[in-house]
Amino acid sequence: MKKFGLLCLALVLALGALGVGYAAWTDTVYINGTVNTGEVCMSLVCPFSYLDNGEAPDGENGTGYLVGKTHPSADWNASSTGTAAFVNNPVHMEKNVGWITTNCPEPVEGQVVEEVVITLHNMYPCYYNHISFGITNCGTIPIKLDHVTFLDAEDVVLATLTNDGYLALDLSKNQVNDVEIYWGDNFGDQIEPGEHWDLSFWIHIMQDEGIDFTQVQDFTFKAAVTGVQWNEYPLD
Amino acid sequence: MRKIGLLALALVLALGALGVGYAAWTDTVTIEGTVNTGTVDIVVENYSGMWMWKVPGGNPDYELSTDPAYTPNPVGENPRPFIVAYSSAAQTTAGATPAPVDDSVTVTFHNLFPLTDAAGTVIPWEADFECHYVGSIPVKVMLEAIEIEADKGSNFSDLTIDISGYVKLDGATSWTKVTPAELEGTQLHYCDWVRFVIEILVPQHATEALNEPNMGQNGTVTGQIKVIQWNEYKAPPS
Repeated sequence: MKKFGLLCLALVLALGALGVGYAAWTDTVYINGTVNTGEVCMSLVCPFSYLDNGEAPDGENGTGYLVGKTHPSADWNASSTGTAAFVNNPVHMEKNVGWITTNCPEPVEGQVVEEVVITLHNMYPCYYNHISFGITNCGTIPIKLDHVTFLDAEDVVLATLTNDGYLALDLSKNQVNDVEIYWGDNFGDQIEPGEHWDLSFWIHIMQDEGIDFTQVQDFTFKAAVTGVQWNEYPLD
Repeated sequence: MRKIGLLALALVLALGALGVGYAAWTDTVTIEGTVNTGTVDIVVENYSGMWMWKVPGGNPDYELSTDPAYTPNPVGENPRPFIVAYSSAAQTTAGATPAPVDDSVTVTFHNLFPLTDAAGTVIPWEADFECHYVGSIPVKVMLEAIEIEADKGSNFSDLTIDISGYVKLDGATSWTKVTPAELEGTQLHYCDWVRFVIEILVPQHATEALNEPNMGQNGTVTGQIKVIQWNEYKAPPS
């Protein structure tokens, strides 16, 4: 009999607790939706193009060294050095000695190309070239060209440009500059998704007379082009 | 003869007794009344958000608007301004999934990217809606979980979502901002207003490697906001 009483008491308490829950009147606002984030994306556009069109002087498709001044593979030499090298007209030479190649992949729809290696072959002081290429906005947000950073092979920053301009690099690390560059255009310019910039720079191989300089050397530099969502340009 | 006498006496007594009954004075209190139950009813009435406009040729060449009806004017001969990204709230329409129920709100956060104010501080994208409390019973706000679930193949790295709000009491002319912590348990009376702001913060990291995981991702937002009669409100465990 006592157990039955306890059971009844427990039942009453349970119903009482349930009653509190049911007693509260409520109203609810339901929220559903979607979220998607945009994308800042830049892709290099291949192929690149050059003033000296990049054919090797010999080999399978070679043209030979002596090609004449009107040949598209004939080298160009700077007529001066420093910023003047990029102001004064270069000289079109008779020979095809230096040349340029890139590892540009075959264009594929939708492919994003984030890095292209440009190799300057058989370089010599005075060699001059103009390299142009495109960058596509492959994202969903307008972007502006903010800066170009030049790095060495170990990704050490050598220089940064935020405006059109000149810089000289000591790639051989012997305290004497051996390459000078003039970056031409597009800082602060804007490209909408799907559109592209035409970018270019001039490069001039200098006379390096520094310590331990040897003629047969490979020099590597990287140019990292940074774009930023248009409303945040310029980056601090 | 004696029987007749007894009968007459009984009749007299009976009539006498009857007379006492008729002689009692009476009065009656009549109770009449009506019963009506109260209501708990919050109604979503207004919707808004943020729209990031690209203004070609403008200085600056962007505008951030919170007015859904606003469109910037073109600058000179430049192309017309257009919306790059936005966050907004709207009444859930018929045919939506999940099916709309009473007081359903659809929020859309489209093409988000890190957003900064004039001081360079990263600020959240906001989709907001105003609720009018039209119930007759005071209620308190209960914020149910609101969350982002990434679609298959997406993975929001470190986006955050939260609800803040503003309150405008009946008769007030301006809104008072309340933090998410203050919004929970806020009491509403008949004709008070509360504006709920769904906030998504897209962080700005110092390196591309940390920013890229948040790019190009898709997901869904779900949440509930409940109001409950004030005397039954229980604060969530801290």
